[in-house]
Amino acid sequence: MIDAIYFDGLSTRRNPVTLIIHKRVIVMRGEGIRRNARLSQVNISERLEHAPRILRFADGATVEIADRRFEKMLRANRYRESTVVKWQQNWPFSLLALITLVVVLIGAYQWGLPWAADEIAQHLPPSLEQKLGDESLVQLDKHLMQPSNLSVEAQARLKNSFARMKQPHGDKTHYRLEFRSSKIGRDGRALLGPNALALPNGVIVMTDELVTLAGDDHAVLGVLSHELGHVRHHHSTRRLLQGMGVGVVINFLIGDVSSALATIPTFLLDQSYSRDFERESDQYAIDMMRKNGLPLSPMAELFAMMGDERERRDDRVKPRRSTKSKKTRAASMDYLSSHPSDEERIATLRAADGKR
Amino acid sequence: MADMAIEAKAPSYNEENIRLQKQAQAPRSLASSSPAASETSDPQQFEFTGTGGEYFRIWIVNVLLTIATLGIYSAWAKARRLQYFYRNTRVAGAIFDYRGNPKAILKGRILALGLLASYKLTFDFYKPAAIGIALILIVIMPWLLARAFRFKMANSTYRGVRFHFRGTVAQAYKMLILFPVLFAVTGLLIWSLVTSFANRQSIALILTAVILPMIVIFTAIPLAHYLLKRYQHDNAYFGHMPFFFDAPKREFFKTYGKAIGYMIVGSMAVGIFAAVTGKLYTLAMETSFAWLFEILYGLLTAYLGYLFVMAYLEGTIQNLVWNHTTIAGMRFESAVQTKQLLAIHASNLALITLTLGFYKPFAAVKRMKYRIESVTLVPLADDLETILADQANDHAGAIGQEAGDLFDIDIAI
Repeated sequence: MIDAIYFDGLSTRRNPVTLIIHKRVIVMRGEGIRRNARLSQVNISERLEHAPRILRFADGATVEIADRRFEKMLRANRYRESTVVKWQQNWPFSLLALITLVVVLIGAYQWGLPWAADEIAQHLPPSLEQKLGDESLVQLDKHLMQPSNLSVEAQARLKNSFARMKQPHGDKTHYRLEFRSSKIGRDGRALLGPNALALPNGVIVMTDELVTLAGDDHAVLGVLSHELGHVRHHHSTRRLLQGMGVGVVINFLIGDVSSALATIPTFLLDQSYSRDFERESDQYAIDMMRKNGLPLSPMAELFAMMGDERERRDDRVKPRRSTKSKKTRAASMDYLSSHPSDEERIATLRAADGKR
Repeated sequence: MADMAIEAKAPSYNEENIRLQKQAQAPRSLASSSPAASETSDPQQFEFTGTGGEYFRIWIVNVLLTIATLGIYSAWAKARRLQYFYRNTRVAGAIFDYRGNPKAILKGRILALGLLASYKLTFDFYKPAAIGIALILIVIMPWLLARAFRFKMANSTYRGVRFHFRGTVAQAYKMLILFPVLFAVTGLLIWSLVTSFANRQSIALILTAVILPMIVIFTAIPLAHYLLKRYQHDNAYFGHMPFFFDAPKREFFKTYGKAIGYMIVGSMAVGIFAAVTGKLYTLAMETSFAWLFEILYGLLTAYLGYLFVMAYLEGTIQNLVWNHTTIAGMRFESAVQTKQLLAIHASNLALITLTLGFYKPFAAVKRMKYRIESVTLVPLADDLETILADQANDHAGAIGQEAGDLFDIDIAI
């Protein structure tokens, strides 16, 4: 027999009662209170370590039971706590949950999310990717790019050479090649510089700066093959979807603590996805160039030159770092780069050339 | 301070039990003047009995199951979390209870998720539709809030008696219309910032476009907060006993004004700190760990001020709200100290960062324990048992029509 407090649900009066469970029937006796109820007809709150149990009757009456001997009574009367509660009360089990959680998160990041994003990207209506790409092109034209200064002949030559190339694995990916030149920022530096972009709608943008820096058509064709790889594998759309996925999970885990803090892991994880896409596209470029019997070393040299150019630019701005302008900050973030290191990419390309 | 004395007087868990056993033996009703009367006429400090370790286990299972069920379990997780915090909160020898039906919570979550997801997706793909959805969201927000308050209160009980929220939807629109206005003005601010900088217009125009909405926002936030709290507390009932809220509006303005003052002082301090450490910063930026340093430096300077202002607002507003809330024959005393809350927040943030988020449940318990235990229930004239037993008859809603409502939803706030 244990002590409990009975509340009738109509007033807050505390009614001390004694309670016993006999043959799965709860029996309570107190000052003016005689109540029996089947164990199965009473809602019993889950067990907590430091808080009383609450029995809730159908008519609104409740009983608070702080006495720990109640647990023994429940067990003796074959009362079964739910699996989740048993799990929550057990340290080894909950630590197992912790390990499982970490494994699940890593697995989802490594395989689950990329797989899901790939599936979604392949089944998205083409009109959606079209709209996405059109919108980005408008934004790029407005803020970062201006019309190309390349001669019509040079543009046509590159367009035709690339159109004549056979796509690897029998692909027939639709694309549209656009030439633009980079806008010049207020500090006199090109905003985009030597660069090429692949948009979700299949538009490949090539900057004049890249064509000039390359000097060699084979290098430009290599870069175009790389960008075609992005288009072929829906990389922009997948990155958008994967970014959303990472954002949702990170926000769920620590977003309520600090949304500013949550952006750091989101950013880092997104960059790692981006590097994977770049590697995949580099491989695509290798496949495509080899299929057409074209050399990859010019592309490797172009990457080397682009790397040098970046370094020169960084050296130039270094003395101004303390002013903490946004541009210099971006330059110092190369460690968290969206691309694999130049050394790695150049080595891969050269190795592919050697195997020919 | 005053709360120290109260702490010493508040009966502990065990003493309370012994006392109850004595009462059980005494053949007398508790409502009449029993030996306990002298004790229950003393102020009763709220007590929180939960521990970080226990809540961690509940939390980790909740998170795992939520992810495994793609979010569906989150409704059950919420019910278990609230059960944990309610049932571990005790005052005057009894605990609170939460009875929210997870299915109702799930319904609300699906609705909220649907709205937010459609907004986010359309924002990325088709802007005009996103604006339409945002407008719908703003228009239904007061209605949703009213439903959510009602759900939460109707599912909270103490000593077997339910709380109620009787704020009407019409009131919600009247009182909470400031929130939509606030959103609109914030949007206007961002829009004006973006466009004015994009088109490089004159400084004067930029200033008027930025400063005007700023002034509007800074007057609207305290007012909106005041109205929200008044709406919540003035329409709350315990059984049939209404809560009354009499915090003066100007106190809210004063609190926020001070917060802005601290923010300005804080940013000056950060500026001085940045100037002093500027040299170190440039040196560190030359190393290969520049990115790490940059993140830490940014966090440090940004959070020093931010944390203090947040702790100040959280503590001061809690004190302000509860010190001005009364219920028939009782009032509350809240004595949260900014300094202590700041220490809790700072250590929590550091430990959460170091443990990659896994310290979160411990942090939540630490913070709630401090906030709950800063509150005291003070009987005004009579002793507590008499007040409660005499006035809290709840003939209508013992089984609670409100909680079984068809449109019962709960949204996260």
